[in-house]
Formats: sequence, structure tokens, C-alpha cells
Amino acid sequence: MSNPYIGLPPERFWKTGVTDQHPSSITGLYQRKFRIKPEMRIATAGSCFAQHIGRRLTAAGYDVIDVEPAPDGMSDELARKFGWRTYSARFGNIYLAGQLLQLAKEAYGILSPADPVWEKHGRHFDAFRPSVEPDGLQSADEVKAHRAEHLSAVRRMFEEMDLFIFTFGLTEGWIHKATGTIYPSAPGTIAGAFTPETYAFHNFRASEIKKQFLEFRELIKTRNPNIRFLLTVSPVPLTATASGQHVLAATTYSKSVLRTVAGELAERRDIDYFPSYEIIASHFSRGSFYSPNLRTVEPVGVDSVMRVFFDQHRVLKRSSNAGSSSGGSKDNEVVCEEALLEAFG
Amino acid sequence: MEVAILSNSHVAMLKMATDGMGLSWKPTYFAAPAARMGGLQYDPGSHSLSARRGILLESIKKTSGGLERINLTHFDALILAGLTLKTQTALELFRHFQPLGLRVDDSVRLISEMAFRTALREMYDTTSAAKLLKLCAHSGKPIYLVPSPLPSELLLVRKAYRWGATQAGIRALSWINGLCSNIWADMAADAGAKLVTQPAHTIGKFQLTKAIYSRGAQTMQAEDYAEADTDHMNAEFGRLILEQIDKAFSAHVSRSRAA
Repeated sequence: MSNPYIGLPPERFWKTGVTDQHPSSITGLYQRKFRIKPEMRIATAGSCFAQHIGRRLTAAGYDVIDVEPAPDGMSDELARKFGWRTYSARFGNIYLAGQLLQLAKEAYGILSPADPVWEKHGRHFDAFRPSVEPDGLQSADEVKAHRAEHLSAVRRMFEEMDLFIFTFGLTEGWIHKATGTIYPSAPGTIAGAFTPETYAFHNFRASEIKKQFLEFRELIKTRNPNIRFLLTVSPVPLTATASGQHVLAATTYSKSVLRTVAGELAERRDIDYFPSYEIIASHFSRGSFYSPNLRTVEPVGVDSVMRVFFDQHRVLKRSSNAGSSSGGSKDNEVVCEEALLEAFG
Repeated sequence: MEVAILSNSHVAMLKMATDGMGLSWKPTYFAAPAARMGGLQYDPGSHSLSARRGILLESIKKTSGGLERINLTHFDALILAGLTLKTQTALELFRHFQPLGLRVDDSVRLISEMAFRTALREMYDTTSAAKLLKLCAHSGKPIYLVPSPLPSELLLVRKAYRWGATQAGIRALSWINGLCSNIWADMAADAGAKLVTQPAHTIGKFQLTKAIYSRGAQTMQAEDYAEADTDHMNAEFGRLILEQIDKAFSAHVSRSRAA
């Protein structure tokens, strides 16, 4: 008697694909959709977890572009404090697909987001990347001048990249009610002030996120037709939720939505999905890749993720950081303004 | 009173000045070119700073009159002279990154003043002065930090500062020099050292050393510097610095007696 399950490879069955495997050595989890060639120019963006991927790819010899490099000789620690050497441009964390679309539209002059400058103690902050200048700038004009230069670099990045790696982070966001402008952090947390008349919470739905990313993809492809995309979902839970639910339920909802969207998007030929989320967050790993706070991903977790990745996209050059946590103390130094919400608990 | 003066190429202006002055204290010079003094190591057994070999060892022997190590017990005070980061290094950063309010070139990338300041401070923390301040703290003796001289006013007309004597260029240079001065003060304060700055009357209106003090500057080998050099000062400047140091010693002795 024949059935569709007969003859399937071992990784299609829970017993052989999961129960009999170990999180640090699982095989068959990821089959690449396209090869990342050594000469491909890679851009990274997204949620905090994406910082790990960018660093490890660079260490492995891939050409991860940085269109806004830090001053020569500056230490990594200092550079990251000011938003350099974190992603391919100095945009800070991009937690939401809508944020990414908004950035691209702003870079190409299609829209001007509302309330671009927030204040705190007489200092001025870029509302869309408040973490890149921890002490703010002297004036709104200075923020705007810095942002104009940044957007020029972002345009260059969009047009030069061959592969865009994006990590979806959140579904929850804060928007400007009148215009729909999306902010990476709630007004009043890093800077600015929250007024319910002006700003509102929005938990983006799967349909919205998918639409936003497809619109972003279309916008970029008009200027960079051969671009490819690699998507991941951040395994880092929410620090806090404004959804009215328990944070565990809110996290499960968010990650489920993002995983659904990533999966549907990856049905397209130019978009691949890499299962870093499954490696870290699923019960297969029994939480072993998280710190005691069950939120921060330990270097050994990043090692496991990158092992699976480099099994399909080979390491181009050996260095101490490429696939292992021997440079791992740096893996814990991710910049994550979402984590600041803990202070308000 | 015996004083160890640890220095680099700036030692020349001090040595030339010493010969003509009747100092109440006896300086012994330990100097090596560029940043080599940062290679000194502390030896707890002999309570001294020493070099293993090479140019550093040869240089300190030559400048000290034969001594191979700096015996921290022997000296009553230690002076670090000219070992801080040059203003020119800050200018190199400025060539590539400029704060909006001090911008002299629209093609150069923007940087916040805070990021610029923090980057510069990080550079200073890697200098020989920063390292030696920590090593000299083993002595328990008073330590004096004499920063590198502000560049000569001739910088404004040299290719080294390509924005020249424009209003924007001068404003930026003043800001950078002020920044460097603040960093020196912080470094000294952090290490419990006393900062000995160049006398105010040696500084011209552009926050640079008056050109008369750079003319005739000579190297450690008693050769004239090339005309393009704007870092090094002459014996007259060295004399003024030694007078500043003298004043600092007198103030310290007065305080010690009062205590």
C-alpha cells in the first residue's frame, strides 16, 4: 500500500529529524534555496539578533557591507555604542517590516515620517534610530542633517547589495495616529514623550507585515532587480508587551505571526528563510541556548545557528569568530533598545 | 631634588634649555623617539621602569647619561613630557569626520561632538602618557604631566591643515585644541597627576603656539627640523616649560610644608 510518507527522508519525521538529534548537531534542518557566492555583497538589518549574523558572516569572510563605517581605529565597543559596526548602515534596530518599508520610502523621498525629532533634557534625538547617539544631538537641525546623510548611505546600500538579510523582530509597535508613521521604540522610553492623542499602540497582523515586506521588496527591486533576500525570525522574546496579554502569550503570538509571514514570503524564488528561530526557541533545544533570563541568546546558541548556516553556505575563511564562540564574549554585546523596557517593569 | 623626565622627541627643547638655566632641582632625561616610551615595563623587584632591548633601551641610556632603568625610589618626582597625543592626530580624525557646527568641508562625514570627543579620548587612553601614568603611580611620588605643545601657528599655512586660516578652519582648530586640553586635564586628574600646561602667553589668538617658539626647533640629535614641522618647539619654549615645572614644584613644596 502506498502513501505520501513512504520514502521521505529522515528529517521529515519527528523521531528521526528531532528526537534522535541533538540541538548542537542537528542535520537536514536547512536546505539553501540559493548559494551565497563569495563575491555577493551582503547587507544586514533587523532586530537585535541580526547583529550576531552579520558579525559571524564577516568573520567567515563574506562581504558584509558597511556603508557608514566607524572612524578608523575606534574600538568595537565604542563603535557600537554609537550605532556603528552593528548593521550595514547606522540605522539601529529595525524591529518591524513596516519600519523597513518606511525607511526605504523615506530614503527615496516617497514619504516624510512625522515627528522625526524627539527631545529629552534639552537634547535632540532621531526618533527612528534613537540609540545611535546616546546623548542626543544639540539641535533638531543637527538631527535632520545627520539623518539626511544617513539616508543617502541607505540608498547606496539598497542599490549596492546583492543579498539582503533581514531578521523580523516584533509585531508590536508604536505609530503616529494621524500619519501612520512607525517608531522603533515607544515615545518616552529613550526620548520624546508619549501622548495618547498623538501616538498609539499597534500590533501588526500577519497580512499587514507580509504586505509591508512585499512592498519593500518591490520598491528595492525597481532599483536593484537582481537582489535576493534571506529572512530570519528573531528568537528573542519580547521584553514587555503593551498588548494587554501576558508577555509569554504576546511573545508566542508575535513570533508565530512573524514565522508565518517569513514562511509565506519564502515561497518566492528570490526569498529564502533560515530557521535560526527554530534552533534557538523551539522546545527541541529545551531552552539551553538562552541565558538564565530566558531571553538573551548565549554564544553557544549563535554557534549552533551558524553551524547549520555554514553547513549550506560555507565558511570562506577561518577566523576565531566565524563559527565558534571563542570570540563569543562579543556575541553578548548586542545593542537592544527594546531591552530598555525592562527598566519600566 | 632629583627629577626623572620621561619624554620623546620633545625632550630636545627641554635639554637645550636646561643647559642655560640654574635649576634648583636636577633633571635626568629618559627619552626615546615617537611612542617608544610606551614600551617601558615595571619591574617590581627593582621598583623601576626598564626596557629589554633595542632602540628604547639605547635611547634612554643615551639621554640619561648611561642609566638603563628608571629607579622609582631614586627620584623625588616624575615628569611625563610631550607623550600625549598630538593635536595633529585629532586633526586626522577631523579630516574624515566633522561635527555639523564646525564643518569646514561638506564632503566630509558628519559626527556628533560627543562621538568625536569620545573617539579622541579613546585614542588618548592608548598613548604612552596614559600607560606611563599608570606605571609611574607605583613610585608613590608626585607625577607631573606636560602635554605635547600646541602646534605652531605655522600649521595654518601648511598643507597639514588644508582649511588654512579660514574663519571656519580656525574655529574648528580652536575647538579641537580645547578638546585636547580638556582630555589632558582629565587624564591627569584620573591619575592623580598634576597638569603643567604651556604658559598662556605662548599661545596665539588661534589657540596655537606662537610661531616664534617653533623657529629653530631641533631634534634629539641637535639637527634643525624640516620647515614643514609644526610639532616641535625651540629652547626658549623649553625654558618656559621648565619655569612652569619649577612653579609647580614650588607650589607642591609649599603645600607639603603647610600640611
